[in-house]
Amino acid sequence: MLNKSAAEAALSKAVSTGGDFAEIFYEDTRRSRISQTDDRIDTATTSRNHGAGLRVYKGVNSVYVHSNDTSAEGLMKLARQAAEAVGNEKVPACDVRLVGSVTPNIHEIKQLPMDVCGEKRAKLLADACKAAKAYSAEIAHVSCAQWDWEQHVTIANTEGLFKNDTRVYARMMVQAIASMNGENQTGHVGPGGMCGFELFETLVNPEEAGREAAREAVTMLHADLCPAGVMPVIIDGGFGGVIFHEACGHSLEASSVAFGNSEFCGKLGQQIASVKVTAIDDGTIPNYWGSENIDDEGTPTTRLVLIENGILKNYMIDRLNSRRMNMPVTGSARRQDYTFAPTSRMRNTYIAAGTDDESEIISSCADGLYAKQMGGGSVNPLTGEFNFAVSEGYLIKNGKVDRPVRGATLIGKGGQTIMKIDRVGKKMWMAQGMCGSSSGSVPTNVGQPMIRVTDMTVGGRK
Amino acid sequence: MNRQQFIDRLFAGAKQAGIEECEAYFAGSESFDVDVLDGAIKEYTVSERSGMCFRGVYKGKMGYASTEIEDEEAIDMLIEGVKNNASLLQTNDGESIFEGSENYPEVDTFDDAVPSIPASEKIAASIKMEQLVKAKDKRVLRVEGCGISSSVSNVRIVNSKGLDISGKSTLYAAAVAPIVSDGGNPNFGFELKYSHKACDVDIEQVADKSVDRALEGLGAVSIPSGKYKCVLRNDMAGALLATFAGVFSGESARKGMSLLKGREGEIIASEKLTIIDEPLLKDGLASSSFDAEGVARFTKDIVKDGRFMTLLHNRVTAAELKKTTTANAAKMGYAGKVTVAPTNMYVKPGDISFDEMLSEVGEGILITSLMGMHSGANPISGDFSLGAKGFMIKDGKKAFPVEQITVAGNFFEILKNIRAVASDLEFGRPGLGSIGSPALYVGEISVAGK
Repeated sequence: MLNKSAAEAALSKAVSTGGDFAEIFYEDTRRSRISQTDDRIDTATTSRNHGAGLRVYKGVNSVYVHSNDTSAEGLMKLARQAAEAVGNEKVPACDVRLVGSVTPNIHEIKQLPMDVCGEKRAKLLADACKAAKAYSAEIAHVSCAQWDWEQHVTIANTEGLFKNDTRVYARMMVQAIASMNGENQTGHVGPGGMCGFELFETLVNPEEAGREAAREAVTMLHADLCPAGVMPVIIDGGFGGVIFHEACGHSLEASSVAFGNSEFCGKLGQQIASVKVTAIDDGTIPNYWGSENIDDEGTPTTRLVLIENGILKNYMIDRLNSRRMNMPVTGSARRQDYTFAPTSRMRNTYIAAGTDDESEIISSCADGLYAKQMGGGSVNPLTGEFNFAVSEGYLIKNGKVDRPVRGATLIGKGGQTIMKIDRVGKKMWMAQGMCGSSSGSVPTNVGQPMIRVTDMTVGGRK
Repeated sequence: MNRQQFIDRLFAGAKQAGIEECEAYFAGSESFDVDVLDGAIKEYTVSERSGMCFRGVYKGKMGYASTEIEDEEAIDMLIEGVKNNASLLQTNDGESIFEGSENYPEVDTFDDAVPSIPASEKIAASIKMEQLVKAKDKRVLRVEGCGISSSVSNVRIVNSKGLDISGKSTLYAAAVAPIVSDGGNPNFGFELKYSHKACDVDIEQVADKSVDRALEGLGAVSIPSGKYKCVLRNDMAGALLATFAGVFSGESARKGMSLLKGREGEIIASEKLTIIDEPLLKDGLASSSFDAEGVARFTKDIVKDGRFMTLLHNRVTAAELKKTTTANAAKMGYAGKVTVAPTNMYVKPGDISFDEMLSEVGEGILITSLMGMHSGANPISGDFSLGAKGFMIKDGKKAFPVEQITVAGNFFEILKNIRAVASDLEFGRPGLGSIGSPALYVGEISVAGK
């Protein structure tokens, strides 16, 4: 636990040379991971991360220092280092008084992962693996893993904020490899939640996860090479939402917008997307992978409408960038752990359900590509250029889903692509990912219903 | 409790708990980063981090546990963790603690100057670098990031078989990303230089190169889809090699995830290709005297004149595949299980210059940027389909910049199709650390454009 009086002393010291705001982020995290290759468990690890990060602002300039030493002396050392970096101004002593406050926990945890015995984890992996292998004789290898972590944080700042929070996450992963004549194709599933181990007894069925990974691998093993060219693309729901995450989400983060490094700068209130598009970034959904109680600066999490019927409504803003932009924070500050200063990040980010009938979306599309499962991707927020991989794709011929194709990549510019969305389906769902950016890797959900983009550049080998 | 007391108590407690042999692996670092904008500090980070990983053999199997805090509670947690985790394992890959090599080579990876350079000097250098970038060309709008970082890292392996070795290294880096525009769409440039030695990092060069790279991409257009003769610039050839480095891993092979398993001695590439793993390379970023199991490092050819010579191994993968270790044991972070990774791995440079290579190609495409390596490349099949930028090559020269295209192919086919290897070997491109290559002429490649 972070000692309150030690934190008060360190915060006072941190702003003793001209800084106008200081914050401590204290963390103690226990992690557990178990993984299996084919029929046997081959890795099991437990670990403990422990440390604190201290941040000082002077205007819009920021200093961040962190260490594993969280004793009173350790915190004071951090404060001294930070204060020295800020400058050598002599300012009146600041008397920091921390006042504890409680943010209600909206994510009920039933089985703390650290209380779950190894055998239970082992059974989960065995079930997933067996189901994947049983799916087809072409499944040559299966690897599965299950991991969880329990992060205890305390956040304190010179405005008097003192908040504790516990974040519990559980996730599993199945990767199946289908093999034929020396050729391999993979299928991958990775469900998770801000949840205890009950996740695997409620929302996630390990056997289904195994079968789904196997199905994707076998389908792709029998797929032709994807033809290259410009064509209409239908992107299915769930992880298909990675298109919005990459192509637009990152460009709406204050870490890009505050510096003018986003194609959406200065466009609040303007139409930036097709009128069919409403997009939301929501940290409040109970037990969802990207949810929170408070963000990593202690601000309560929010539900934020980013785009409404194509009109840009909000950016995602952290404390430092709120100073740069002169706009309020949105509860969007996140960081991987105490070794990173926080910045604005996505949570559960999705295109909301629309009104189009899914079967009509396909039948009214003459020839094109149906991207049923997406892989990952990346984006340059300045230009909006993105790329992402299609992990399970099909050609569309005469308004019907035709044969599977592999090796497809979608590229484009975010701002152009979201203007070209001409259909948004009725059923929205989400999928889990880890999003990497300047404040590290954080759990995020992506999501959308089935959507159609009138034309996109599809990369392929044929 | 100091570190030696911690180790003594941990080892004594482990023995009592029935842990037959064990190892404590310590990794620590102190680092400094500064990022400037408009002549002022934008971000400033000082970090001190250390962690330790404890592994030990319990009832014949190797268990792992790790911590970032070395206190009484940690000792219990580590011992219990090793016992519980070892008990869960359903395989026994024969992982054991290494008694030590006879001799360890010396490497020069530490620069006494790095820890003593004051922060003020690094801040001033960062500000100067920003000024140089802005002064170089009036089309430079601003920088997206501009700064210096430095770090001192140390590793120590202590085990119950009497091994106690340690190593330390320094790193000094300068990076800048200018944004340029000639009135149309803006374009990014990025240049990063890092070295163990501070004096190797020339901020004027970094500034110059970053602006050149940003400007040369202005006014890029897409090109028609089709097959093009293709040159991968040295950094992109290195990026591709880094993406598919796993195919040379004994760890991937034993898991059935490398198509090279059991193919030692076969021709797998053009005779122009030689790939070397050289841990003792002078100034190599990954140079080190011992691997993560404590085995003395040495240099080996992975591919020689097109012939596949060896997978990279640690003691476990070597034993399982009936080979000897190549001293490539590695850990992904201090807490990780011992696995396999290359050190300074590179394509041996050829005789022709980059310009000569372009004239040999005559007409084709030069790739200078690849996007989506973590998603658009399948490390098992070797298939890739990646967003790309570059230049058209006409009459043997760079003609005009190209963007909004994808290139697709297969790594193993690329290896076979290499027609020429340039002499411009370069290491340490962004994100690739210690993997390097000269420019490669890889024959024809599929391009999707407009």
